[in-house]
Amino acid sequence: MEARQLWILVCAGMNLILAQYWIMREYQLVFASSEVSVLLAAVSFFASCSLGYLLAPKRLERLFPWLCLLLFLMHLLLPWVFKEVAAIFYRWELPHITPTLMGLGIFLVAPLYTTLLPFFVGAREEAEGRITGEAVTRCYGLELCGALAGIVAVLTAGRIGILPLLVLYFLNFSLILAYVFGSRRVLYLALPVSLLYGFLYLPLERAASEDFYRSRDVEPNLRLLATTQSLYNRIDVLQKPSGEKLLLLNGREYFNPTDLESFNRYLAGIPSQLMPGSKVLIVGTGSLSSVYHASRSAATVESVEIDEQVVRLTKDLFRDFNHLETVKNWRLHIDDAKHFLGSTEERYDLIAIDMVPPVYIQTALLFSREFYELAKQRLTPGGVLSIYTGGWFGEVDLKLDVYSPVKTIDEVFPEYLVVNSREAGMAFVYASPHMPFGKRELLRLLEESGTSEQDKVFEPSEARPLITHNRASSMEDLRIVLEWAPTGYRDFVSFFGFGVWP
Amino acid sequence: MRQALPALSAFTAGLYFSACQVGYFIALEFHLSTTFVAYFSAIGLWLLGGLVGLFLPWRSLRVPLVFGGLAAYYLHGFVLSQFPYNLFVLPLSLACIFTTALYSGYFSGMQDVTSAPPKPFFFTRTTASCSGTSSPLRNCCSTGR
Repeated sequence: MEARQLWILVCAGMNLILAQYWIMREYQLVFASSEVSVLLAAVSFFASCSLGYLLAPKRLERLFPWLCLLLFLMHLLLPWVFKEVAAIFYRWELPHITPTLMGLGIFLVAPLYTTLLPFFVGAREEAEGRITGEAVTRCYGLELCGALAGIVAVLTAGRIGILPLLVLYFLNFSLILAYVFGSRRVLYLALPVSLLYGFLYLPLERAASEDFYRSRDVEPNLRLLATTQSLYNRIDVLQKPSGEKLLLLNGREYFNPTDLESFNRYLAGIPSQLMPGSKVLIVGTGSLSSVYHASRSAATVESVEIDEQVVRLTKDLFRDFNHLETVKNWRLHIDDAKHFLGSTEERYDLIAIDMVPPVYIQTALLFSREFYELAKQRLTPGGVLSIYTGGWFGEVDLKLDVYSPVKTIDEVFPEYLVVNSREAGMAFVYASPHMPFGKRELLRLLEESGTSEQDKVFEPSEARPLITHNRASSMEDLRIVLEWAPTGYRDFVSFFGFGVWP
Repeated sequence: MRQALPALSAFTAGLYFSACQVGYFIALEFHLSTTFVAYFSAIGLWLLGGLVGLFLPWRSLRVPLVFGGLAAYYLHGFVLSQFPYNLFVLPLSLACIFTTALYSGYFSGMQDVTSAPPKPFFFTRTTASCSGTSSPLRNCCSTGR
C-alpha cells in the first residue's frame, strides 16, 4: 500500500469532526441529554482518539482493511443498533447501562481515523530514509485542513439537517476504505452504499427512535408523529393512543396537554391577565402555547428562540394549543436570549421565561442571578418577570444549601409573589421592581378560575423564612447543572474518579 | 529522564491547549452568545490558528507564541466582560482564539522527532486533552465562572 496518497488524511480529518458532531447529536435521545452526558461524550471521544494513535500499525497489515470494512458496516448500523440496544436495556429496566454503551460506541468511531496519521508519518519517513519533522508537518497539516473542511460542512450543510453531513461522512469513509484495500472496485461498491444510506437513514432512524420511546415510556402504542434535528436540538413530537401530543426536546418532555398546559397559563396567561394591554416578551417557545395564553390580554407578544426548527415544527403540530391563526400580535426573534436581552433597547411590561430546565451550562445561565438582573433592566418600572421553579415551594426549600429559584429572585427583586399551583405541580414566581398587582388581585383571579382553594400564594415576608438556608444560582455557582443531570450519569461520572460532585 | 521530558512536554501542552479551548468557549457562552455560528467559528479559528502555526518556519518563536497566546486569552476575557453581548466584539474574540491556537500548531511542527516520535507524541497530547477538557468543564458546572 502506498503512503503517497496523503489526501486521505483530509478525509480522516473531516470525518473526525463530522463523527464528533454526529455522536453529540445522534445519541442525545438515548443518553438523557445534559451537560454531563456531553462531558462524557467529549472525554470518550478524546480517549478513543488516543487509542487510535496508540494502536497505529507501522504497516497497514492484511487484517486492517477488513477491520475497516467491518467498521464501515457497523457505522452504517450504529444509529439504529444503539437505539434498539438502549430500548432492550430499558425493557430490562437497566437504563443506567446507557452511559457505558455510549462510551463503547464512541470507541468504535474515532480510532480508525487517528490511526492513519502516525502510519503516514512513519511511512513517509521510511520512504525518505531519514527521520525528519517535515513529514509530521505535512501530514498533520492535511489532517487539520480536513478538520477545517468539516467545520465548514457543519456550518453550511448542517443547517439543512444531519442527513447531508452523514452522506458526506460515508463518502469520505468510502474513499478511506478504497485506499486501505488499494482497490477501486471497493470504491465502486462503497459509494452507492453511502448514497443509498441517505435514502434509508430517515425512515429507519424514525422507526428505531419510536421503538426506543415505546420502551422508555412503557407505552407500546406510542407514535412518533414528527422528528427533526437542528444544530441545537433533537425535536420529537409523540402521540399517545388517546390522541394526546407530547413535545420532546433532546428526549425530554417539554409539553403535554395536561399539566404543561396549566404551566403555560400560570407562566404567561395569569400575569398577562393581571396587566392587560401589556408588552410581553417570552423567552423560549416550545409548543407556543404560552404565546396564546399571553396574547389574549396583551397588546403585543414577542418571543425569542435560539432554535428556529422548534418553531417550524410546533407551529402546526400544536395548533390546537397555540391557536396561532387567532394570534395577530405576535413577533418572533431568532436569537440567543442573553444576547437578545443584552443588546435590545426595548422595555417590556412582562418577561416570561419558558425555557428547558438548566441541564446545560447554556440554559443554566438563564436561571442565574445575573440573567435576572439583565431581565430586570429590560423591564418597564412596573414590569414583571415570570419564572417557573420546577418544584413545590415551602417543602424541600427547608433543606440546607439547596438551590432555590425563589432565593435567586429574592436577591434581585424587592417585590415578588410565589404561587404554588396544584394543576401545574410546581410553583411560579412573579417578580418586579414595583409590583403592578398584589396578592389580593392574584387570589381574586385564581378564585375566578376556580383554583384559589388548591393554590397557595406567598408574599416576600412569608417566603423569606423558608429560603434562609437556600442557595441562589449565579455565574459563580452553577451546581444546578449537576443537580438537574440524570442520577445515573452523576453516579457514573463520580464512580470513574472525576471528583466528588458537590 | 531524557525520554520522560518530551512526554511530559506533550502532556502539559495537551492540557494547556484543551484548557484554553474550554476557557474560550465558556467565556463566549457567558458573555457573548451561544449561537452555533459563534461556537463553530471559534472551533474553526482554533483549527486555522493551529494550521498556520504548524507551517511557521522560524525556530525562535516558542516564547513569543506562548506569551502572546496567553495575553490574547486574558485580553479576550477582559474585553468580553467589559462589553457583554456585543457581537462587534466577535472578530476580536476570533482573532484572540487564532493567536492562542498558533502555538498548538507550532508546538507540533517544531517537535524533535528523534526524541519525540509522532505516535507517542500524539497519543500523550490527546490523552492530556481528555483531562484538559473534562476538568475545566466539570469545574465550571460546579463553581461557575
